[in-house]
Formats: sequence, C-alpha cells, structure tokens
Amino acid sequence: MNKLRLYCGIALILLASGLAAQSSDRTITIIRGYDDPFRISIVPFTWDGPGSAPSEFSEIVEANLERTGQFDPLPRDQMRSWPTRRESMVFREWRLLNQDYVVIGRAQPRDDNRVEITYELYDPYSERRLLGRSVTGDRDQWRQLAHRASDAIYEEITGVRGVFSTKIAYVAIEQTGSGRSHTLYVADADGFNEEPWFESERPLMSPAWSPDARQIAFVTFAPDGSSEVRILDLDSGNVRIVAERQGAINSAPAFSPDGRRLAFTSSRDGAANIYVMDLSNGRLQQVTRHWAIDTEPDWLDNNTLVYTSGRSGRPQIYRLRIGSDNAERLTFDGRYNARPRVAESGNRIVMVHNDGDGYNIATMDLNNRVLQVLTGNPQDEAPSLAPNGSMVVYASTQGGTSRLAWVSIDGMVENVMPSRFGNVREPAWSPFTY
Amino acid sequence: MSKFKLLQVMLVTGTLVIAGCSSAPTDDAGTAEDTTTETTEERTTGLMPLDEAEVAEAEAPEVAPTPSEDIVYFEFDSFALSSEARSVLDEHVAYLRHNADAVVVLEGHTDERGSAEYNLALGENRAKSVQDYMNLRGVENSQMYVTSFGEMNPAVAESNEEAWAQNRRVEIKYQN
Repeated sequence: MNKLRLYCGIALILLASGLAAQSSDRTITIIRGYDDPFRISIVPFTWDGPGSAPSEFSEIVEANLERTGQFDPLPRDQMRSWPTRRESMVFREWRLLNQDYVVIGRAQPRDDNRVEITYELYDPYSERRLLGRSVTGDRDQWRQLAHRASDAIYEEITGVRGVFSTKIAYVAIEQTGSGRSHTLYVADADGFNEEPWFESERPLMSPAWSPDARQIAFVTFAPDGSSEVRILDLDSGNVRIVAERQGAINSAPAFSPDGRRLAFTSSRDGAANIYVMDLSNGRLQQVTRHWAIDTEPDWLDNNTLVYTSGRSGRPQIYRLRIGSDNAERLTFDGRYNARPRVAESGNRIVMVHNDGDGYNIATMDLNNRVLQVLTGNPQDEAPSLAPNGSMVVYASTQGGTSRLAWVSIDGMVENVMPSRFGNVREPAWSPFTY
Repeated sequence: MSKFKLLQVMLVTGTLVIAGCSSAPTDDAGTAEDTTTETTEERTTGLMPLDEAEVAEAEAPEVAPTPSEDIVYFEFDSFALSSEARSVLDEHVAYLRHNADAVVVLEGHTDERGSAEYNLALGENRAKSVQDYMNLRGVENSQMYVTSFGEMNPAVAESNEEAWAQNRRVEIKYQN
C-alpha cells in the first residue's frame, strides 16, 4: 500500500514537472543579469516579397543577445519608429530612448527557395554605421542566418567572438510504455532546431565534440551492461564503437585539441583508469595506474590531461602530463570536485563542486588557482564551456528531473534552456562551427 | 537420505550459520583487510573441503533457500558493505555455492548527486565489492558479472534523502 502511494506520488511529480516543462516551452528565463547591460534596439525586419518570412528574424537575434545578460533589448512597442534603411533612421529618437545601439534590416526571397538578409548596426550617438552585411542561405537555414548575424553584432560590440552559431549536444530521456528511451540530440546553442542522432533503451552518457565539430564521441551500454565508447560522424551519420570490453567500464571520452587522440576511462585492468587512444590506429596508452577511481579526463593541451581522481579519499581534480607518473592535485577547496572541463584557452577549468551544501558548477583560474562557485542550485552537474569561454551549459536536477541551464563564466547571468523534453542532461557545447 | 548425508547437510548448514555470524562486520568502515582475514579463517575451518556436488544432491531447501532480498544498499560515496548488506549477500553465497550453474549480474548504481562519470565508476566499485565479498566466501568469479549504470538508472526518480538511499544500490540479478 505504501509502495503504491509512493508510485502514485512519483507519477504525480513526473506529470507536474512535465506540465511545467511544457508551459515554459521555449521561454527563456533569465534568473540573474548585469546591472548595466548594453541598451540595444533590434527593429523588426521587413520581408520584401510575396508570402511571409519563415519567422521573425529580429526576434531570434534579440533573444540571442538578451540571453547573454550583456544586453537589454528595447521592447518594440516602445520604439518610436521601425526604420529598415539608413534613410529613414532618426538618430535623435534613439538617443532620447538612451539606446547604445540600433540594429535594422530586411529580408527578401531569392531564387530557388533562398533568402537574403541585410542587417546594419548603428551607433545613434556618433550616427555611424558599425556593421553592414548581407547574407544569403536556404529558407530552412533561416535560424542559422539569424545566429550568424547575432555572432557578428555581438563581436562588434563586445570584441568577443559570438557563440550563437555553435551547437549543444545533449541526452533527452523520455518515459516509454515499458521503460525509458535515451536520445542523443544536437541543437542550436539557443536550444532550438534539435535533431536526434542516436537512440537507445539503455542510458547514453558524456557526449564530447571533436575539435572540428564533425564528430561526437559518447557512451552507450551494451546489452550485458558494459559501457562502451562510440564515435558518431555527423557528416555520414555513421556510428562506430571505439572502446569496449565486456564486464568493464569504457566511458568519459574527450578528443585531444589536435583531434588525433581520444582520452577515456576504462576499468579493463580492474580499477577505473585513464587511457589515451591514437585514433589513426587504435593503439592504447594507459595514462593513470591507481586503485582509486580516475576518470573524466579532459585536455589542457595535446600532452596534458586534467581528470577526477578519488585517490585522496574523495573526488578531486588532478593534472598529469601524459607519460609522467607525477599527478598534481589542483583542487583543495571543497570536499568534492569532479568533471573538469577545460576552456579553449587552456588556463581555466569548470567543474562540479560540493562544499557540504549542494552540488554546484564552479570555475578555477589555473594561473592563480582561485575557485569561484557559479551556481546555487541543489544538484548541478555536467558543465561544458562555450568555445569563447563566456558561458557554461550544465544540467540541473530538481525533483528527479533534469534540465539544461546556462551560467556566465563570472556567475552573473543564469538562465534556463528551453526544451520540449521534460528530462534533459549531459550537455556538451560544440567548438566554433565556422 | 542416508544418515551420512544428513549429517553432512547439518554440518554445512551449521558452518554457514557460523560463517554468517562471523562475517557480521562492526560497521561500514570495515576495510578490505578485515574481510580478507575473516575469510581466510573460514576457509581453513572446513567450509571449502566439502564436496559441493554431493551437497547439492541432498536437495535440502534449508541449505540454500532462494535468497529473500536481491538488493544491497550503500552509504553516500562509499562502496563499503554494511552488516545488513553482508547478511543479504550471505544468502546469495549459499545459493550460488549450491547452484554452480547459476549466474548473477551484479549491477551497481549510485544516487544522482555529483558527477555522472564518477558515479559510473563508483557504481562499478560497489558491484565489485559485492563480487569480492562473495568470491572470498567461495562463489566462483565465473558465476558473477559486474556492471554499473552509475546514476543513470535510478530506482526512485526523485531528489530527496529517501530516494537517494534507495538508489545507492547493487542489484543481484539471476540470469535465465
């Protein structure tokens, strides 16, 4: 009877969280933000042609910029005019609205189902045009074109390369009649345009991008329960197993920065240790030899790994030059530090951190070894850095359900990634895609 | 059943009871060394020399009843076996020793807290400590397969102490 009640309770919670996920579908929720963001107006773009535009181009750009927390877009109903060309711009209007930047533009259909989008970025104070571009693409690349425009605008204003055209891989878990289905998805960095690539009734874990963003290594489970590392080729859609061993863990893959090697964890010789595979010939090199858990390797450079080790009694993060036995412990703050991921610059890591009160995402500057906690939810994990180092995507679990969220690398901005799935985890941010 | 066989059955039962008692640990902190010492003693006190095949023929249900529990539980970030876990495992030891063709998968799991890959390895360590314990008590390693799903397959998909305690487990799954 008690058990029945328990299961009913679970079902209710699942139902409620499913509903909550649906009602907030596609809504970006900014939890924190900066005190003084750039004030920007993104004027609605016109569609100069028959029919209608695939969607509101300017809305995609606006959502992209707003999500960074560095921009405060002006609602369109507060604008005094909606110019689409320089001739109709009244700069004084925008100065009166205290706008730092104004984006205008227009879209028109071209032959063969193609579209052309022209956008311009203005500074209303200097009345100068900072950026003016025309981009052409297929009609079904509409969102990608908007992401490209967002990248250019973001870089022009902040001086930092935008990541709106990058991708995020993740695993969605859905309840089916008899159990759970696990699907590896790749979505745009804003969570839209999700495409399924691999599905299994058994768990999927730890997607990791190749540096050219054309392959994803990930972990599947064989029917006998052993975990195995596979590589998905995004050009062909082919999936091949690269590391397997019956009755052992084979997991936690990470491509080297030059893309030629794959670090992963295996317990083929007893304890979980770290191996490096030469992807050209499959040759294996055992990197760690310890009876305690060594796992979650990532690359600081082509010869140096960071990883989680339980050798001190609790998981902490270590650094090791491949071929050396001299593991250097990096984390001393907190009783649990795991899953280090390296910023592309190689001088910063993000990790899962626990100091007695919840599992949070933290970052450490490897130059001064200062650890900063970025999130404050009860159960956050699987951090993955944007290739420009500005944001971290991670999975946040509450009530047994996981969703994805972003936090800026300074901890100032946090928001939830929209998804149509109720339970999403294991995010991996792609490298730059162009 | 001959008197000799009956005596043998009683002997085995008695030995198992003693084994069960002597294996009751003090607490979770019991180390691998403790376990080894205990088991070495048992082996020299005559559990091993008995002819297992003959005992199996005796068909006495008291010798190796079907184990009543098939899940053992663990403390957070630990793969040490509690005394409760050991007494559950002792039933499986008895059963597996008397059913040499029985094969089990020892499936390790963790709660959702912390990192999924670390938990995958932790789940494997839990399954391996079950395997080691049963192997030291005479179960053949060929009868046991170790797997881990880490935090990926919770028994209770909730985020609270009670659910976490139910999820930190090794499931003993008999094949076929």
